[in-house]
Amino acid sequence: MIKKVFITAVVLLAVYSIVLKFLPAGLDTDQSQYGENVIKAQNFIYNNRPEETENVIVGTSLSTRIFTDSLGQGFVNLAFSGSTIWDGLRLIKAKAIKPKRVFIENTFLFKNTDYNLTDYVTNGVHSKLKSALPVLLEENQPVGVLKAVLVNQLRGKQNELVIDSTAVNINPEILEIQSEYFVHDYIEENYEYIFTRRLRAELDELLSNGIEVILYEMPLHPDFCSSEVVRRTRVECQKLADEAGIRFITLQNCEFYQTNDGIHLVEHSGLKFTRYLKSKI
Amino acid sequence: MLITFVIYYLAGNLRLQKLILIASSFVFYAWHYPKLLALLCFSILINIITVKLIKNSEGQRRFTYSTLGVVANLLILAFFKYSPLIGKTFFFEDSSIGSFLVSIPLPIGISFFTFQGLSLVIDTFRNDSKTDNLPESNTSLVESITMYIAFFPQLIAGPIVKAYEFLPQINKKYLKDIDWEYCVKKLILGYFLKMVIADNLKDHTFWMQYPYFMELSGLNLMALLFGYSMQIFADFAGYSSIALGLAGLFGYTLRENFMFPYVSASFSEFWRRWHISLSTFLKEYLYIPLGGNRKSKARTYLNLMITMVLGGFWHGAAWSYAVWGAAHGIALAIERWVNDITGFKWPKSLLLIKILFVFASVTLCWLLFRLPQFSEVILYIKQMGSAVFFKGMQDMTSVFFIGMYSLPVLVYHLIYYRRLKFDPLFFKKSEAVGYGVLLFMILVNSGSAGSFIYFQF
Repeated sequence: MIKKVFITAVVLLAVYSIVLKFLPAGLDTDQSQYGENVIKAQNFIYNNRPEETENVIVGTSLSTRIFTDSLGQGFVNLAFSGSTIWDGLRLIKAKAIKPKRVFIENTFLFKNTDYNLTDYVTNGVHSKLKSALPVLLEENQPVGVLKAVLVNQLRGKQNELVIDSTAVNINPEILEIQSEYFVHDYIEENYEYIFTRRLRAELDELLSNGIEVILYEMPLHPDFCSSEVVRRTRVECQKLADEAGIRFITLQNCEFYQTNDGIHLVEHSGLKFTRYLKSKI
Repeated sequence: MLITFVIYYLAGNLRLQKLILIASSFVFYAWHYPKLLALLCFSILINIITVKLIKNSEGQRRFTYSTLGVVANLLILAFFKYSPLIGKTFFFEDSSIGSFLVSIPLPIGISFFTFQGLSLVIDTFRNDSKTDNLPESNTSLVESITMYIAFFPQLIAGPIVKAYEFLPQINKKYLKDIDWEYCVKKLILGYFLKMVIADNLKDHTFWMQYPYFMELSGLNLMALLFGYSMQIFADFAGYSSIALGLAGLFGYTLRENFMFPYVSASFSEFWRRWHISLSTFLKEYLYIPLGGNRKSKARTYLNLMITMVLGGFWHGAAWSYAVWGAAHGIALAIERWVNDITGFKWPKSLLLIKILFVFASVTLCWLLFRLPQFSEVILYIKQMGSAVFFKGMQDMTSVFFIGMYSLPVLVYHLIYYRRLKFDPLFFKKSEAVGYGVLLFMILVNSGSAGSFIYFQF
């Protein structure tokens, strides 16, 4: 019986590997927020074509709202929901092929990470196995593939994706909770450590590898944009950019953008910000 | 694990096998927090001393020593598990006592190994030296008790093994005696339930937290609650199955901890199928000593309530767990009361409705496990009724994934029914293919690693 069990599993593995070859490219197979992060990180780490990873965006969930494809060829968005820029920067370090330009989001620089995501993708036997056997990659999980195929079928019957531009009413409780980040949580942070040591060290390493670094701001709810934490972060970023000789793309008009919870842009604002970012690079 | 397995079977005698298992169990327990090993050793020491004293005494003294042993075990549990709750409930958190009580860490697995200690003390008291299954020599006694309490497959999340079930099994084990088929099946099923079902559902039920759930549609809220019900089953039944498989590899048989609980047509049946090792423990060591159903009807209902509220508290140091226990206690008491006064026999055609009712009630109660604050539980229930029922594509995606990952659990329960009614040979023949599919899914569709829910208890 045991032999039969293992034979069945191996046969299924082989058959499924063949099935994957016949699936259309670019299927959106992510199943959850964390799963999406893992797929993004794996696609970056295991991609051996330098021309596809020339420009890397490193950000938090805020930057997931950027329409990466609209920025041009060779852009990769390492914006991780529920995580930080430190994960994205570690992935760049772990990859042998370096990008030409790295865009770093400056929101939530004080948030720490446990590096679970990057460790999962870059360390251990399983990551070696996954780099060798695509059938084991998260983006090829049968349930995610099934979802993608079904969504494709449904989308095929509809017109192009329509971006809704209606105004959004933010739940006041959610806004109140988000405001904690800007009003209380980060007011007493060690700015000096972040800007003169931690982020500075990361910048120096990227620059020493011949990588162009650009800092950028994401739009927030107008109340947060004018908060003490955001203003001070902006000043420190500008100072750091001047010292390191890099660019810092600032944003003065948060009221032109809409968020659904105070920090995450709604789709039409995401598109607006993408156009703004593109015009600056 | 592999190293332990190899040297365990290379060891020439029982004593060496016991020492190897004890050493590996200690390493396993101390892996993340070595300091906590001292507490485990202290708990074991208390039980060794108590058992020795009980065995060497007669009459009233025997009773006194066993009472002291029970109290010592309960004090250890109370101090480490309930101090933060006492601190939060009765003291200002910024007072010195309050902050001290709140800062006491919860050692992993403490609820499980102290209950095993209780079982050992009570069983030793109930039996004489001929029937207590304990060796006479001091060294052997220490080794056997240490191994019983620290046995790594079930040390941190059960099943809770009773002394009378485990101690008779301590004898020399041989590689040829391993039931490989049983162990492989248990391990594959366990890892499938944990890694494919629970770990994937976890990434969706994450959104049941406050305030995230405030933004969700009624459909999504219901789907998530259903998904959490499936997740908690898959998580815990998965761990139990892995524990059974691992114990089997070392020659020990642990009792089944789950028997298709979601097919239960009554609350009492649910508790005969869910976390069986805990429910039988509570029945044997709490409900029956309280008088069980041997006294008046009112006393029986009260005993049920006491047992379930304490059972709820066993799960965690929060009032929501007590409410969860009380809810089950009330359901059990009402069910018994209805049976007592009416003697009504439900027609078989209504069986499915009864199953759905019990499942829905049990699932609703899991909210008390998922949300730490009672106010959040109420808010969640209110939101289910008042939020917009359907908000678009995101709802469809959520329902799709929860449905897909819940499906195997539903099929698992369905198989139980089919087995009752159809030729078991059919299932025997297709079993290998079924387990092959599960193994394939473990390889290609596992979710992100997450702690077992029951580790926190």
